[in-house]
Amino acid sequence: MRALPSVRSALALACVIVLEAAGAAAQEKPRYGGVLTWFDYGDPGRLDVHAESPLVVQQATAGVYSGLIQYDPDDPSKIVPDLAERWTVSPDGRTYTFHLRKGVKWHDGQPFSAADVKASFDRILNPDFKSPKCGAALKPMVASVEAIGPSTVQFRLKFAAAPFLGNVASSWCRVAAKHILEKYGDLNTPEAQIGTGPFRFKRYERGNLIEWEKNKDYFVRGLPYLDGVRQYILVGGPTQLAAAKAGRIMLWDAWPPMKRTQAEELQRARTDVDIYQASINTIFLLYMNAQKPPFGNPDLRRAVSLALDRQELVAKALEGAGVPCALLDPKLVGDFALPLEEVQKLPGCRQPKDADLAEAKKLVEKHHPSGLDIEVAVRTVGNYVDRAQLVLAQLRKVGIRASLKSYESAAGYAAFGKGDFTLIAAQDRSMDTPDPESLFSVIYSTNAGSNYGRWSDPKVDELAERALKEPSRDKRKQLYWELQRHIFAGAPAAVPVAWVEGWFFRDRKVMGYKPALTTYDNNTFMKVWLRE
Amino acid sequence: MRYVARRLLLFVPTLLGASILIFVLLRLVPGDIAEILVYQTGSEASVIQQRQIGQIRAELGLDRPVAVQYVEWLGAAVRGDFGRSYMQQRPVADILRERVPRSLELALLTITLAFLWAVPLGVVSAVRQNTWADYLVRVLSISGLSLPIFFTGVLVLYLLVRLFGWLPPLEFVSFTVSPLENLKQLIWPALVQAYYISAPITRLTRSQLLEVVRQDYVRTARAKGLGERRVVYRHALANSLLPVVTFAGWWGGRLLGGIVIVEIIFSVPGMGSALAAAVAQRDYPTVQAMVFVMALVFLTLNLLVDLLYAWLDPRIKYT
Repeated sequence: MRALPSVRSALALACVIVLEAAGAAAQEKPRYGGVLTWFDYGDPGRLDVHAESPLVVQQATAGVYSGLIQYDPDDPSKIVPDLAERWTVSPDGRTYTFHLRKGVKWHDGQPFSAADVKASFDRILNPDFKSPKCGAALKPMVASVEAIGPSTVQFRLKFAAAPFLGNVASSWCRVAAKHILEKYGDLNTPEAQIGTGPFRFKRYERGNLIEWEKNKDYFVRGLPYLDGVRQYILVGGPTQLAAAKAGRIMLWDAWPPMKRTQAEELQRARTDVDIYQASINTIFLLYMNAQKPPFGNPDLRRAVSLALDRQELVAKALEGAGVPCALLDPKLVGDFALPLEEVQKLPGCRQPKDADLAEAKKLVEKHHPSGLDIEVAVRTVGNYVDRAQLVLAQLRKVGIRASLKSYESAAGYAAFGKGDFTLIAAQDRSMDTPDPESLFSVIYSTNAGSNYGRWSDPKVDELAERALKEPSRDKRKQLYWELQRHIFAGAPAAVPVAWVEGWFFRDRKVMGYKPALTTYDNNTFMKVWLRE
Repeated sequence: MRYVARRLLLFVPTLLGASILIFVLLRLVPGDIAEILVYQTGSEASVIQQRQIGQIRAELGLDRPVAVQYVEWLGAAVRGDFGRSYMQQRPVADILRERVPRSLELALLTITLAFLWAVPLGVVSAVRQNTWADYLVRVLSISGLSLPIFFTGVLVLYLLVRLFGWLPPLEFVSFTVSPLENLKQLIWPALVQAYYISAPITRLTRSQLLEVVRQDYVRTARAKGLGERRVVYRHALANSLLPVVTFAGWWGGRLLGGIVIVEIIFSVPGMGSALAAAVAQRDYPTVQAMVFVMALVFLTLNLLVDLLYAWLDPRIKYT
């Protein structure tokens, strides 16, 4: 946890209080009652957690559903049972058998069974069904799902996939009711929000409010503690901060994180909150188009990578909240990430920049003796334009003169998706699961959905595939290290700038809440309770 | 009556023009909903993405020629069917029924508040021309015009929290359920917008009144021995307000367009915030219907202003 200089002592004190509170909380008996308030940064519109990808959809429905398994609310790095009380794995690692809890009921009183699990995953895995989160993660590895009894479900995999359990535990892989899917055809409407989760979907005032109420028949006896959860839909940044300062929301632990200045402002306004800096499992990338000149030339891609001063970008554009250079963030994936000490000595990341700048300049001069003129694209969201300006200034030092072309958000995605750009100065991508595989299958593999630069490196594909299928954790780690070193040594189209962090807060009344490794997980609030 | 009928008939080509314009403009903007849904997520393999974009376009009928799409939309719209929102997966008519009254209420409150203080301030400014009161009103007017709404809105939000530790309700309650709760939320965005539009009303009232008070009939009224208050309010002001009324009608229409900012800042789930989200997501049916409603409101307000004009000034006759 890094503190803001101007409120460093206050935050240090807050940290002590958090630790003390955590200790105290362990001894304190959870209290029943109360309504937790927090916010969604946008109006979800459609509510189908299998078919949608925005965080707001997941947030809006999180407490309503259960998964087969889940990331532990008490220790979000572990996977624990949810609807499945236990599971077994065949010796070849290709068959997972989940034994389901008995006596579980849907919110409408219908009994839950293995048929619901099969219906949900058959839907998600259907090649014609667009399932951008759970489906995208599971389709490549799952061959079939069978109900082999009323309380037993078997997943047959195409290969022994190491991230399988982590993907099934993802909050996007929720189990929906077969009878509801048959009745409504999808899960888009509030009426279709029938789950087995700790909360029932109470109401959805579009553009304004989403409310859950306690599920008194929740299958975990004694939970949840809260009477309900109220999520205000607050689109404007100033409105979100004002709501936090006025005490209308008790928790800020989703996207967007607070900026440093906002955290300081909140610290001054409220003494009853703990403010903390944390990762949002999102990587800040710079993309080049490897299929078009000039960045079809690996020398010039390498020159850009060398020219970038990631530390300066983190300090100025991310207000110091970020992990520069890393392809994988150790805070998120542990020792699957190359040690930061090694990463920070690599060309492009090492400080001071003199040697890198000299080499980058040489590479540019080799192909463009009088310098290079390019157009740099950026979406006008968040502080992307500010980041782009810093990138432009850094590129200028090595003879790359760039003009900025800004895109409205959706128009930008349309252009990038079609490869209609030369260089994208700033683009964040959040990871769907905390498994290292997520980064490579989404950004670096040849067929990756966010490989905007259309970069293809057979060795990257091969190493990513081998790591995906490797059952031994140690060997997997070695493969990911080799993969990271290979990408760093090469000239990728997607240059990692930093893993983004931000500031969040929790009202000290809110107990039993642990932030998850992704912004998507651990927001069912099943174990959260409110102090008097 | 014939005039009104003719004006109403003129609505048809104007609305048609507006609908064609928005239909074409929306499709000229890069990125459609299929691309947004697929590229924004960017998780599926690139080959799957192309197939999915094609599927979504076919499902929504976006793969047909624009002219065909337009004629189909228009045919349904004249029957009151504005289609189905891509984003919300429900009829656009439901969204309009839900959102339009809230924005109209906010616009009405804004205009009322603006008139309540802008006209008296304009009078004070004119009657006390070149005194401190006039200077103060002019400074207020110019600052109202100069400060963008998003700035004033955020400032009001900041000051409410800073000075009173209070924030307008985040949960919207309709006027019919609780007028007081409704007002607690809407009064702030209305005040912010009213401050902005009151500036030109104040200045217009001032300049009109200054012109009228120099007229012969005002001198005659004074010569008759009428009190200054009666001269100003009964004789001069009544005749100064005609252009102000026209101006207010024009602003009423503009307000619907500008309401998006205050709705987002003050968390009012009205038409403006829904329109902004629909544009960002390329939810064509919703945007088309909302722009259509805005054009209709604008035309109706203009007609009402013209009719009001004739009613206020009996010398004006429409043929």
